Amino acid sequence: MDSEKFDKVVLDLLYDELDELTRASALRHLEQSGHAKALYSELRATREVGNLPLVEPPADLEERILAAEAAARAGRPLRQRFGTFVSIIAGYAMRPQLAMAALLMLMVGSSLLFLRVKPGETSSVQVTERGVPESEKEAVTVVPLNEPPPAPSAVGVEPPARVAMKSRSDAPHDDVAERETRPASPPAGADLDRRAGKGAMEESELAKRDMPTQAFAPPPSVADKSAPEGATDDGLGAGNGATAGAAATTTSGTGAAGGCGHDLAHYEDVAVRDPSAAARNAARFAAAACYAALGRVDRARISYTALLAVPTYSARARQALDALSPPAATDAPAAAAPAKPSASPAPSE
Amino acid sequence: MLRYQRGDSSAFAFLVRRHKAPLYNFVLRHLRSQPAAEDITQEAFLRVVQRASEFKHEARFSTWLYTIARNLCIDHARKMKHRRHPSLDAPTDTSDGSRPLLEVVPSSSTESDVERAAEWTAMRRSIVAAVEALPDDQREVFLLREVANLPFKEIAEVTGTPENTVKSRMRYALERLRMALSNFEEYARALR
Repeated sequence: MDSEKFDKVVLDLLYDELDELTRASALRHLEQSGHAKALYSELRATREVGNLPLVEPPADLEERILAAEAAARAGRPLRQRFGTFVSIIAGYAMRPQLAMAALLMLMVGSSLLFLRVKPGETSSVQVTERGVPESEKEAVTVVPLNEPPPAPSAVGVEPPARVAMKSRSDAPHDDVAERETRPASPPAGADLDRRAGKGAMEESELAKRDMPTQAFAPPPSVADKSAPEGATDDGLGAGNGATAGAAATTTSGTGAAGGCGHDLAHYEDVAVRDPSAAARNAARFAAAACYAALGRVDRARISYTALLAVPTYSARARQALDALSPPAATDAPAAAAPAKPSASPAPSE
Repeated sequence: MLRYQRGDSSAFAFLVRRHKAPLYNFVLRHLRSQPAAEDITQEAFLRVVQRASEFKHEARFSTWLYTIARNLCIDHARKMKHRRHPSLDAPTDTSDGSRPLLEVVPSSSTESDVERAAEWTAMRRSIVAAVEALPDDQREVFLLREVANLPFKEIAEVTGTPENTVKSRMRYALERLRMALSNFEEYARALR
């Protein structure tokens, strides 16, 4: 730093308004230059000695100012007061905390809006069963819910679908139930399957009647299906949970082979592990009926043969074996076909 | 000031307590009249109340306050232009309650030495006289720097002049003050 530049910054140095770098440079020049040192000393001494002492203002000055401020605030027009009020509100509204709280409330409110859909309300969700040709989908006919119960003689063909339909009549997704119970046009060899299915139906009915009350817990799918309606529409009596379970077993065994197959594991488990002999026999009989419904004739025959030794099941087991024997002997390969299409012929046929 | 703009009236009391003394002294040295200094100080704070919504926080509050006070002082000086300025040595004029400026300035009571006390009094008289004798622009800058304690940048904003001009005026004011004090031994001691 030279003398000319020092002259420019000497006042800043005197009043301590220089940045650190320039101040250090000025101080270095001050030590080296006698002229700069003399100039700085004179200004510093003048400032130290020549400072004016502060005069204390009158004591009532502050009170007068505050009183004038209060009077001015009270005398402001309404428009100016409203402007002040808006300014205060805007000052609070611009705070980030308030913005975050508003965002949180918006998120909670929108979440509650979405959660307001009640379970009983009709949903617009459409479920399509895969693997069904489009042409067959057009042949679906829904059985009316207020249709009178069928005669006991017709139980062999239509009741399973009806039972399934009625068991789900109060469910929210009626279209789903309809699609699940929808009969499809029978493929080739359906006559054989229909006969096998009819026999399986009869066996399931027998198993349903002979299943002791509370012999064993119904399988999960049966329990789920039988819980709402309480077996009021199965024509076998109300309030019997096991009977309702059997009816649902019939449904799943004939109307939906997949359901019977799902319950089969439970029946087998009960038949092996349950400590009660009655429950084991009942489960074995139900499992045999499911095997027959699924087309697994060999396993059904084994189960029925095992039940021949049980006095209470021997007659029915024999009858079931007789029903299984003729078609199994003639059309053994056809018995392996899926039982689902033969379970319930289309009402339109 | 932000709190006051949001409706906190206690914030205004805090501002008054903080700025009243330097503002009053600035106006007092500027106008050389105690009643006028009180009125102008009160009026300056009242303007702050009335124009609080206009303050945008682009400058410091002190800059804004001293700009208002300076403008009020200029207006008052214009109104009083035809009147004679009160002299430092003039007798007390009790008609408007004002006193000579040197009587307002508190004297040093710590000096035991009579001669030294007399020198202090004489030196103070010379300081005040030198400040009084400064040109208006230099005195204004000197008071804003020494009394209001504003930095040169803010003084430039208050007076509406470039910062270099402000520093130049300050430099001239200090030179004049140095010349007025050069005969005093106290100054010589400070110089050493």
